[in-house]
Amino acid sequence: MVSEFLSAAATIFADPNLLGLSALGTVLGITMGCLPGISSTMALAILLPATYAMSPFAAMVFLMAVFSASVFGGSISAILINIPGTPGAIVTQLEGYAMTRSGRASEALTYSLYSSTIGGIVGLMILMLVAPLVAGAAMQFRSPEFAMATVFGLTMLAYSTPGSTFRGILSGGIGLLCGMVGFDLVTDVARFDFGVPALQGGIELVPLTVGLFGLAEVLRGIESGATTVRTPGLGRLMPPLSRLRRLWKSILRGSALGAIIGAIPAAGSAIAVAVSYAQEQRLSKRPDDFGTGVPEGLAGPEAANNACVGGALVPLMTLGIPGDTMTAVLMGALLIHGLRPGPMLFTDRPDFVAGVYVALFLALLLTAFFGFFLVRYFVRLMRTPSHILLVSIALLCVVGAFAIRNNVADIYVMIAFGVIGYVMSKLEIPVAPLAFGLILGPILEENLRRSLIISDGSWMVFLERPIALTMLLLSAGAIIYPLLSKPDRFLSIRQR
Amino acid sequence: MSDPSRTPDPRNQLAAGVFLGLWSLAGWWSVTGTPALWSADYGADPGPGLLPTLVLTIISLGALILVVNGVRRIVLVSPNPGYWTGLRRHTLVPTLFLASLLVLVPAIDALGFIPASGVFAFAWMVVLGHRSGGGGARTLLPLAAAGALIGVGLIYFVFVYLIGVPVG
Repeated sequence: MVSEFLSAAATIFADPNLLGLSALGTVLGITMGCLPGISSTMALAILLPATYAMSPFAAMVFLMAVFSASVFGGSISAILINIPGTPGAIVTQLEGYAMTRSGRASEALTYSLYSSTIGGIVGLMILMLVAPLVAGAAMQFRSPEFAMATVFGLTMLAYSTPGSTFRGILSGGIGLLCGMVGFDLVTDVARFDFGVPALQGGIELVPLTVGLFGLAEVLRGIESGATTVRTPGLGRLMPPLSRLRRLWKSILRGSALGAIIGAIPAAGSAIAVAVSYAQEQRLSKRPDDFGTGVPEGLAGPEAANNACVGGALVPLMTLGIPGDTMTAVLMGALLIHGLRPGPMLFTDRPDFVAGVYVALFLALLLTAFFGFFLVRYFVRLMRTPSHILLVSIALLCVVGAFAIRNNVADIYVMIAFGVIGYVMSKLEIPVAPLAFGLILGPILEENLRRSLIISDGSWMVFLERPIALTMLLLSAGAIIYPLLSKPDRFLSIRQR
Repeated sequence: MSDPSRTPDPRNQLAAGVFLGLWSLAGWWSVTGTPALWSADYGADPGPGLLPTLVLTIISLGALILVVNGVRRIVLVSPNPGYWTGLRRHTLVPTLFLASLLVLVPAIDALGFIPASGVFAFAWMVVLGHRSGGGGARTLLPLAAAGALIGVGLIYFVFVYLIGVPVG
């Protein structure tokens, strides 16, 4: 893998177009991440259509930059205006905003950037070490294991998303139905097309994700009312090196936690940063000061947040199971470009896998560079009134949905899923499992049917194979545990 | 330690059940109206009807549970009387925005991307800016004009000029 990594690095670093794309993705990622109301998932979803004209490699370089940089961008708004731009920045505001209130905003931003960069690199290293091992183990997977892995991924996401597990599973079910729209690939029978020719080709992933994560968010933003944020002034950016050096233990602890938790499907960055913050508070000599602007409480979670990026790529790259909504959109990008993540990607396209690693590494370096030198400009952009952003994003959603096939029907599909996403949010049904269901549905069906063909129709095939059985039991546990532990609360909405 | 979960308004539960029920009804209607899913012999393959049936069964049961629980709680608990009024008031502007998006699509086809999107963006930036108390006409109009120009211009530049999307 080292030779492939060096070869991919030589390709990317020698190509001004790829370097430019990575730089553009980084700037856009930081900008969108720091704008209140734009999450990393939304940034990826609305920029995904811009990659159609690119080669798969160039698209991945661009999207990895957006993904990685938007995570840091989310921390800027958490630190300066107490609004986390991404779920992973939810803890950043506790210490970061406290530092801003005491006139130490620039210091907090530097700690965040420093920790994010190191955390991201540690996460990448863990990805490079662990992914080939997991992919090697996954080579033993056959159809029953892949079928149960998709069930496991869907169930875990339903379990971990805000809202209730029960509603999450039903949302995933709707996604599975959407994935079945159109001609069945084996028998050529049209399903759920309602006689509409536009539906016979199936529901495209991009209009769905742009609608669910883009337009629906715009509608929620319009409902909550437009705002213009006031940002504090920034002083000197670089704190003394001695202060940065004092944080290395927190950063390493956060990085390790983030990479490990991020690699667990659907665990997500919000859990990683919460665990890291609790750990830092527990180990601190002044735990009672937490919440007043303690740098360790900022550095650890920030490192964990960015280490999650590498960790979340482990299940995506090795098993073809996205770990969260952001990697689900990345998986969509790979599928659009004809690449199916999973263990075979490591044997068939090791050059591409190495390219993903290099793209992430480059994105981390560029995020550090732009984050340090351009942070004042990003802060100025945050003052853009939200009504201007919301209307522009809605237009971007329209054009992005059209761009995939130059088909007006895709715009209407995008608007339909924008409405569905908005209605689901009003009804407190999580939308992320729906997108997961659409992506994983075809994989589940293909492997489920193949398993039953091989076993002459016996469902015991899923119980007789240890790995498939383990994933089935874990999935069942994620559903049954909340039902048994608090039966009266099973239909309730979890607070986050 | 407080329980970090809460029970939603019973009407929310009922509405969620109805929403999911509509999906399952549409699904069952399509599945039962496609005889090829059931009649043909696909040999060892369980056929294209297997997963739709499994998934629709789960969604239907889930919807039923939510509806029954919602109705039961509406009967037992006297719900907040302002629920529907609040919902209508909050969703009015997003609904109008959606309606205008539906008009925008044929308008782009008829007038071209820049004029149609420019008018759409300018009008909504003024309306939303006014709604948020963004100042008088002297502030709002130039800001909306600049926002529409930059927003539409950037999208046109990236998608039409750089990527070559024939958007109009």
